[in-house]
Amino acid sequence: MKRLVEGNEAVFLGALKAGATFFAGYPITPSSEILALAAEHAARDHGFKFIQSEDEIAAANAIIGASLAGAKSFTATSGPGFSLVQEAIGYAHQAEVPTVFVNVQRVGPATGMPTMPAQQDILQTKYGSSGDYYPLVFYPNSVEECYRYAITAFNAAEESMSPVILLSDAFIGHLNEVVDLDAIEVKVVPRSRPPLGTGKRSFSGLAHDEEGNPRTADAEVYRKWLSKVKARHEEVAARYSDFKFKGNTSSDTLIISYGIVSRVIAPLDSEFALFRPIRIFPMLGPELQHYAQGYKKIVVIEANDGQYGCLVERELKREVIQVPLLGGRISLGLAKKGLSEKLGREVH
Amino acid sequence: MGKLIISGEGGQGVRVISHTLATLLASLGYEVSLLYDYDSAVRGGMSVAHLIFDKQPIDNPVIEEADILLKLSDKAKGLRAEKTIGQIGLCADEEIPFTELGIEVFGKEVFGNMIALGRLMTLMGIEVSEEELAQALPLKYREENISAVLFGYHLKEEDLERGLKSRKRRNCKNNTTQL
Repeated sequence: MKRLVEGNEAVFLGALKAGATFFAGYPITPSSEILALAAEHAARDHGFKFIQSEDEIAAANAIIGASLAGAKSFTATSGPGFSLVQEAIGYAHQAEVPTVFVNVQRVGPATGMPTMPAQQDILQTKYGSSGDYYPLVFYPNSVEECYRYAITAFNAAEESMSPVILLSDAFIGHLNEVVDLDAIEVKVVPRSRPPLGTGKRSFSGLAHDEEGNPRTADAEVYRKWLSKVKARHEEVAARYSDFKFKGNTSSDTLIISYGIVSRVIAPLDSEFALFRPIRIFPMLGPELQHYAQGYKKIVVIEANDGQYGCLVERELKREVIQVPLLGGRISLGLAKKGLSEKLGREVH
Repeated sequence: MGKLIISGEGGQGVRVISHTLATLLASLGYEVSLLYDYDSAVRGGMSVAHLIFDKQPIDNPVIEEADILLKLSDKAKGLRAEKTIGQIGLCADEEIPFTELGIEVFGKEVFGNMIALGRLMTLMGIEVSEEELAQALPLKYREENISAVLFGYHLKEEDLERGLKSRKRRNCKNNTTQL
């Protein structure tokens, strides 16, 4: 049935659809609705477990523990909370733990502007923890996609045996749209491996061999492990090369944007070509290169000071014009103003 | 397509009004986008709802110029609209003593919001049944809220007079107290 659904609610319902049975979190605007829904759901369904922890670090480690114990698990946080969970994300990559971190972004750094939308954690999703790792990151731009990509995030987590990040922002998280969630069909990937208690197994944040035994001074074992993990992530990422492209043969400029910004600038399609990555990481390199080919100018509009733009520039090996929308003000008018300044002509 | 902005302060009911209206529009078969822009000061901080409805899918949910702006306070700055309605004293095209009518007719200031919602529905040409209205409203004070919405929907000149008189009485009373 069609009804009004909020972005954060769609994320939670998507998680349930994916088979999540454990949520741990610490309330933080603008993600708190997900925690509140999880608490309410746990009261109704005793098969679903919920912890409101003392902080985000505890929550992150709780979902890792729950995953190892056999549950599909997730947490939801924002800005400062996402900073706190970075160590746990690194651990989950090293220990190969499938779980999902939802980050409903707000303006930072630190407490920043708690209710204002931003896209300032883009680089943190890829580089926030220590060491080399290959995170899968998705960023929906509608309520329907919040539901769809919540399921996808759980699927990709099971397939890659790693923590997957689902990005959102204060606007998308609190956006209400008319959706028929029952009509959305996304295949659910089952648990990738048996839970603890089913045979002898070892998990560690230390570098380890195939059996999980610590191997902390063996470069060969480490290289083999990293290469295997990298290949697995690339293989899984290839199943989710999701993007939207709207060409414009009368334009010489391609605009790249994602999340809420891609919604706000959608009316620019009459004047520009538009590309929207949904899988933010690993970057859609071949797709970007393919669609950027026909355009003289590449512009990245994003609600941060050029975080994705610099990566697009590196990927395309050509200059990228950056239009930052800062301070929680995201509007078509501001995007047009920024474009007009950077392109040296009036954008209507 | 209709674009509507509801602006007020945290605690004034911006979310209740906008969510109720969005639910009603959804039940009428419209595509709806409702987006909240608010300050972290939950009580007294600016709170703005952007509500768009259309028969087509909606791209940009952020409104820069609304068809109608409902102002419950003037906390939020820089909002633009073709027509503004608001609580009396807020420099709107149509100023209505919503607060006073809430007290005078329904015994509580807060019902002013539902009267405003009714007025908004009239201006936007939204017609719904009482049943549909009941389904869209929160359970708490549902009957009173329905009455207040209907009152606002059918607002008459004499009702405005009643509200203005109430406002005058309250102002006089306040001034007397101060003396």
